[in-house]
Amino acid sequence: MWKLSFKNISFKNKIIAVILLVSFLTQIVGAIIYIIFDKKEYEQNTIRELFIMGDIIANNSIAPLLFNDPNEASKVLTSLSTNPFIKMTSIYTENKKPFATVENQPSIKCPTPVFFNHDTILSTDSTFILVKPILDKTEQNKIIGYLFINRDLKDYYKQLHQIIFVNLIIAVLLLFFAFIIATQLQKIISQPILRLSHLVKKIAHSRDFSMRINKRGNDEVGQLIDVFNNLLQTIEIQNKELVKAKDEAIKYAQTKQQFLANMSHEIRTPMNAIIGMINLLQNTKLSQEQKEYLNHINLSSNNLLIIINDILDISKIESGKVVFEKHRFNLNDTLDNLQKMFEPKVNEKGIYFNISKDPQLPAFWLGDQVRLNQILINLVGNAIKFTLEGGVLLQIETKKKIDETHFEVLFKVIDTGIGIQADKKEHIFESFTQASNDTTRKFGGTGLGLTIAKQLVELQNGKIWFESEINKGTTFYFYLPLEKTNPPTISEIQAKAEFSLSKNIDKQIFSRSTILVAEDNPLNQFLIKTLLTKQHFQNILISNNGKEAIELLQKNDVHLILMDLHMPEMDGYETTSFIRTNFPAPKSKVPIIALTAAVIQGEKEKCLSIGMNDYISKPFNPNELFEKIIFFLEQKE
Amino acid sequence: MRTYTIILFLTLYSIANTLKAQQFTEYELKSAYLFNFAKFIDFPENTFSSARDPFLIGVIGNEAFLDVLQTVIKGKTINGRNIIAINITQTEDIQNCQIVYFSKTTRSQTLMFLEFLNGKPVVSVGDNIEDFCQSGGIINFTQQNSVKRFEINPNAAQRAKLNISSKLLALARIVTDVEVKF
Repeated sequence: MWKLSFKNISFKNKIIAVILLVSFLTQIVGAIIYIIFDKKEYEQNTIRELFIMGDIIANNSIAPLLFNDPNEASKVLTSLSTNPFIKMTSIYTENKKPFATVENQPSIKCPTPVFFNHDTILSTDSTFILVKPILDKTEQNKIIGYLFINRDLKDYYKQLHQIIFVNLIIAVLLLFFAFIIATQLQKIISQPILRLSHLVKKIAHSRDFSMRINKRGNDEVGQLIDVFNNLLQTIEIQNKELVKAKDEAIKYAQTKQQFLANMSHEIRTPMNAIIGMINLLQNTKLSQEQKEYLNHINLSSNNLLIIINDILDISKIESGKVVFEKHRFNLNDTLDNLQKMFEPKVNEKGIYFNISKDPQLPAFWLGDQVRLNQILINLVGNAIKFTLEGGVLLQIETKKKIDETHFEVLFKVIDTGIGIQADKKEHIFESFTQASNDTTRKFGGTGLGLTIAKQLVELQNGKIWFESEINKGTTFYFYLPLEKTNPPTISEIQAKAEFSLSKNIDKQIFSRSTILVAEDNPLNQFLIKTLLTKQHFQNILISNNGKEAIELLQKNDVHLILMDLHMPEMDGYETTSFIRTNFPAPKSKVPIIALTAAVIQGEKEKCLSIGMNDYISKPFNPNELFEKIIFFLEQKE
Repeated sequence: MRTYTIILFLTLYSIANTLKAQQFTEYELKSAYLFNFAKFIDFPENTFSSARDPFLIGVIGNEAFLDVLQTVIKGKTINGRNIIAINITQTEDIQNCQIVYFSKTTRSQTLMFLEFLNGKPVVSVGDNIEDFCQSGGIINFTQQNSVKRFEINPNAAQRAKLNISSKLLALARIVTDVEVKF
């Protein structure tokens, strides 16, 4: 709350007030000094005048006194009655007896006389009384009588009133002029300060610290400007350093990002070969022991793949490259898949995994089913991992119905596991954080699952949180805003059915078709070749790079190309655009499916834009690959 | 304030005392007047031959007055000169006097002395003598109850080369030479 005090009034008004106060005080002091001096002067003049009068009257009174003639004395005294301020004059004899008295103002009461042997002025507030002994000069200045002149001070008071009145008028006029002058003159002082204040505000607002304030003098304001400019310079230098540091930090983050993406790419390529080989091995004749070892290898490879995918996800999320799709999906299917996916695991651990969906909740939604699945897998996987007895319950219900189609759908993952310690609760969503190092040893995992889940939920404007009690269990909650949609129409279902039908094609088409594989990695070449041969493909051409692929395409009648994107000599993009532009039809129209370990966002779009027909990321699901191959071969026939 | 009161009291006390003591006789008063006249009259420069010459007052016809006068002027000076009062019996005695007082003189005696004094720088003062000023006298005391205490003939004073102060004239009834003719 602002108090109305001198501190809070504006600088301008402060200066005006000070100038007015000073001029007013000067005026008052001047007036007082003038009045004092005027009074002194008046007294001096009046007293001198009284003495002169007294001398004359005394001189003229000598004869009347000596010859005892009061009438003549009265005449002498009457000569003073022309002066209106003389109230009364009187003469006393040397024996102090009244001799003659003239009263100009009869109402005045004669005061008891006081005699002095020398000239004396008695002063009261309203009168001066001259007491003068009358001396006979011819006779050794013998006192022969006394003269009294009683003068009032009316004229003085009249004069005083006039002085005060005139001073008041002058004071008012001066204050008025002082105000006018002060309002102009205050600018001399206030303008530079207001200007400084304005510029400082401007700088603070624009955050342009390279600005400097021009100095217009070397007074205190000038010095303040110097200091401020120095401050600005310091801020500017610091800002530059900060920007540099920030840029460097971003650069490092990008480098890290790039490193992670490259690393995962480099790891996924051999992983692809390993998993493929495992699949092939599993179909060969193996002893029971070998099968068991192979299972272990398979499991570990899959875990490794999950970890790599997690790292890749995190790096994608952190660099903001995650884009959420908005496709129709069936929540019931998602949940069924989840149930099936974790069934072997829970059976193995001897715990339950139940899913309870609110029957009122619609089945078909628009959203990113893959991401939802990823979140659920992370949370349910975690819950199962940390539950040793009891089990896990997934509940789905409506949290809030925003309007007819928009819902906030709440998912609860309730486990009866080991729980989370209170002191770990706030760190549980941080990257690479698990409840303890023991946990990592005991249960495995990267600690990225929850981080990814949290980021995926929040990036979709949802929210995730949890409640936990040690040794009782943990419940994770999250909700996502989802849009309800209609179930697929009959024609859509038919289209899907047709595709399913195409699975039952006769194997003749395989033997008729020639497939060109462009892949630089010999292991992957072998893997693809083995897979295709198993499915009765007979004509398989292998090239180590884009150049070889183009040569093979020129010499042979090729029905489909599987093209790796990253190859030496000529990569997949170059090769594709070369085929599409430089070959004559129909060879230029040959279907090309991209094969790559790179799962960086935008790669798929790049493939399609350059003229490829489809895209499959390694390590691929053999069934997925065959479906795509069959799709294009049938189209061609 | 207290001092002021004490002074006032003392002053009142002294006034009361003096009032009681001062009782003047007619002779004493007139002696004082004679003495005072001297203060208002300028004599010609050659009146006194030396600075030590006394101021002489002559009295004609009244020795009793002379005694009183001598008492009154005792120890007094006029312009630094001692005052001496002498008895006048013949005209020659007047020669060195500055003031001559006529008291209880006969008409013929008065006229004789005035005749002698005419034109001489001597102040003739009459004690209520009829037609004194009209007869060439300079100052004449009037009757006891009259408004003016004395009368002066300035023409006579002029003839005697005496300068009488206007202050003194202001206190006197003025008798001119014109009146003399009537």
